[in-house]
Amino acid sequence: MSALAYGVSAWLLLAGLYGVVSSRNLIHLITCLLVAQSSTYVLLLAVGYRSGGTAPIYADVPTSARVVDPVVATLALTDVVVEATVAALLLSLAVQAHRRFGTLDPDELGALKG
Amino acid sequence: MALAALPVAVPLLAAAALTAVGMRAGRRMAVASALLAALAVTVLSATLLARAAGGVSVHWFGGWEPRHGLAIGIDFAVDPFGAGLATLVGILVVAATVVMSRYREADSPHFEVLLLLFCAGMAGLCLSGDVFDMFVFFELMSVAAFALAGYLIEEGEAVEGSLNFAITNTIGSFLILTGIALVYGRTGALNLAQVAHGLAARPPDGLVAIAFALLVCGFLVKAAIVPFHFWLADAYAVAPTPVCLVFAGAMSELGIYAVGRIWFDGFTEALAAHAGSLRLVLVIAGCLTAVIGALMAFLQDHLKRMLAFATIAYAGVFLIGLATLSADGVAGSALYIVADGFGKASLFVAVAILQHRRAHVSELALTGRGRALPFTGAVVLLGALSFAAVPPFGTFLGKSLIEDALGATGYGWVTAVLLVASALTAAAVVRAIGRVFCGLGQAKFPGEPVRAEAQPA
Repeated sequence: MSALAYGVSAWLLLAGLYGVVSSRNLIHLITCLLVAQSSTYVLLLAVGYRSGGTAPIYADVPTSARVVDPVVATLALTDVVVEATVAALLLSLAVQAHRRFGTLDPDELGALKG
Repeated sequence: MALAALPVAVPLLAAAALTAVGMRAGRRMAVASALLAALAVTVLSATLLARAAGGVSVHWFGGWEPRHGLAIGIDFAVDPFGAGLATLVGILVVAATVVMSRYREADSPHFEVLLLLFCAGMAGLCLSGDVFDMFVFFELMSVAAFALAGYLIEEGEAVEGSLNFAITNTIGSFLILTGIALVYGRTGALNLAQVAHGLAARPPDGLVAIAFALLVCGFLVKAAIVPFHFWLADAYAVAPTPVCLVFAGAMSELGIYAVGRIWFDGFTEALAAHAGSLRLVLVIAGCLTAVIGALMAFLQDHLKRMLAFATIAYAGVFLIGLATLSADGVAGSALYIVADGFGKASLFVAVAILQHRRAHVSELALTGRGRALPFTGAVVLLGALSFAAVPPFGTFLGKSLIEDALGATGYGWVTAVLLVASALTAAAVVRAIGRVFCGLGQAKFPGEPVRAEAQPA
């Protein structure tokens, strides 16, 4: 189970980064960035997972119960919030780029030279 | 000591209040409250610096102090380096607010809000003693920086520069987060001191090395160390010039600071056996960055790009100082960062003045057009001397300390690299003085139309 999760995380990161470098469309590029980012969710949750563990809500399970690590869940949540901000900003920049240049191809923006 | 939280809390609250009031605030009100908040950050950080002079002072939020040698609370660990950098950030944000208020008219307080968020993120990164908090503050700083770089959105260049900046730096932050996840998986801790404790308990293996490498690479993207440097010149060229002075004076340097913090507070014990190879890698990266940055700075005629490449060159120099992994080297880098931060900031202010008065930012187009601005010329000359690291300037002291530390660690030859970086960046600025303020050489206007960034005075 665990090895699979780490493998998935590494695959998502590499596939996302490949998409970022090879993309010819800003919206596609930003989506690839988000794919790469979701690798960090998988990794965080895999790190805190304990086989047979239940949700760490002690209202309905005894305090001696085996639970998964709640810290990684909060880290992943914080990460979701942070990266949602980044994604919103990037997408708004993509909209502006389309408005200025009439294209979403990062190679054809070309206002910056040198 | 609740004082430690205030350099972050004050600008955040001021930014929230300004956003809430919005357009009704009026121009003066927005600038005044931003100035007040930035001044507060400066004073508070300076107080922290004075208190931290003897060592590290730690503040645990909500009274969650470590029990039985186990830290699960979140803390601010204030050391002289961090508090000093936070003070520098405060001063530069004050300067940027003042320059911007004359540089460009705006009817909404967006700029001030973004600048305050940027300031809060940087101050938090300087003070945090928790590796995940470092990431969050780092991201807060980065997002505000992306928005500030693209602030002049009506220009196509700003969109493109900001996109490059945002995409590369976001990839850097994924690397950091992956590193943090691995560290947490190994040690079950996020507090840096606790991480150090957990890592030292077991012999280091591939996981620790990979986690450390990921963290360092992520932070070095922000510091624009070769080969992660290509975004910086674009971002600086398009950002409003007053923002550049904070970018160049503090933001890049914070990447170097974060690497130092991760190494000295977290990994130094666990990876002690590999300090020699880390030193070699960082020195080589620093040398490449310093030489490439200085050469590129010398080749530019666009003044902002010139200073942007100088920023890259000096990030390399600071990395070299840190790479000695010795007290002298780090002290040298710290001094150099502060002294050079002021030097670069004043150069950017001078460029902002030129751009505002003459509506050009290319050295060739400005030939002879700075004759009527002798004070600006004098400031640029002081900046050039600061780059040259001559005695009355703090840069001289920082450079000497780094050179001593290099000699003591057997990297004496690297002093030549420091010399090249200083000489080339100073020469580039002196050449600009000769052209712009003394009228030497032929004026040449680039074929493309002048950027309409500055409004006529």
